[in-house]
Amino acid sequence: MNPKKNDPLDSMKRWVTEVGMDTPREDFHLSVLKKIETLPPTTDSYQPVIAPLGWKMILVFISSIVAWTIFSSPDSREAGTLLDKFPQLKLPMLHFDAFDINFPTLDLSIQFQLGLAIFFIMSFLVFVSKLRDNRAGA
Amino acid sequence: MQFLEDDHYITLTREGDMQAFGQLVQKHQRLVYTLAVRMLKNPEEAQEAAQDTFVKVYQSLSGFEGKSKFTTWMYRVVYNECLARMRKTKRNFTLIEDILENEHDPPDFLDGLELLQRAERAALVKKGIEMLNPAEAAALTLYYLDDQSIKEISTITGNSESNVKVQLYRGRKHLEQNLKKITNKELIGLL
Repeated sequence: MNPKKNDPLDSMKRWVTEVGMDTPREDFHLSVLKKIETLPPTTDSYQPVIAPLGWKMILVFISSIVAWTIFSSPDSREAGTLLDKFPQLKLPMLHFDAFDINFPTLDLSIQFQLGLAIFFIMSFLVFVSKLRDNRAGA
Repeated sequence: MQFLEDDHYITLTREGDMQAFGQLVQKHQRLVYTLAVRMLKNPEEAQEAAQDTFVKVYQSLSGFEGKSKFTTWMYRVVYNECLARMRKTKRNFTLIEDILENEHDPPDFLDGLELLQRAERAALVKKGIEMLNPAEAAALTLYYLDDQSIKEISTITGNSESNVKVQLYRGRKHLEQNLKKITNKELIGLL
């Protein structure tokens, strides 16, 4: 009995092994090294997405919100806020009677004002980070 | 040329030793190139694909965590490189013809192949492999020439293990059919 006939898989392995491997050009590895040398240098140094200054600003911002919340919230239903306990500042009113100009007064809620403040602060942060990116790219 | 373990060269390359990377390339260049040639069917393009593979390997070496074998990872890079090149030129990846016809034909013919001289047989088998579709050629090369397991081939190609088994089965059948076609042609030429 012919064992080869019963085991075509072994024959296949032998044939493929007999064919062997193809050989690239002699200077193949030198060409690879040349290609690598021509690669543009990469900056491997770690650059945080948010700079230390950005983190400080965020920390100040969050602290100010916490402080604002503490001072502006009444300690009981009937009590006023902590801010109310500070002496009221009386600023002189501006008078434009001579020109007969009436400025409209905006009645914005505290949430809206807070939203506006956050918007401007975030815009500032984006602006600063853009400036930094531009400088780094230059 | 005697080579050391891959880890040795990888460590040195990470420390900036380009000579070590050169040796790593020399150690694996033949199989990477063979895989590329059998998928792309064009020696010049295969040369470029193999070079680009090693450049990519060099660029990503710092991110290689060693979770899989270095060779498995490298073959995955060359396999994907070849796939990308084939997609660019819109070459077909699968055979359209019915591959299972004449399934029970080959045994006598295979015995005939055994009688041929080794060099003649190798030349015929090489031609037969060249006629295979890229996926089957890659699977057969990795399985028989580099003794990669089904699981490793699955990792390299991104196909499931059962798909790899099917590719190997079809590859064998196709190769047998191709060899039959080639030998018939050559015999007709001789008559």
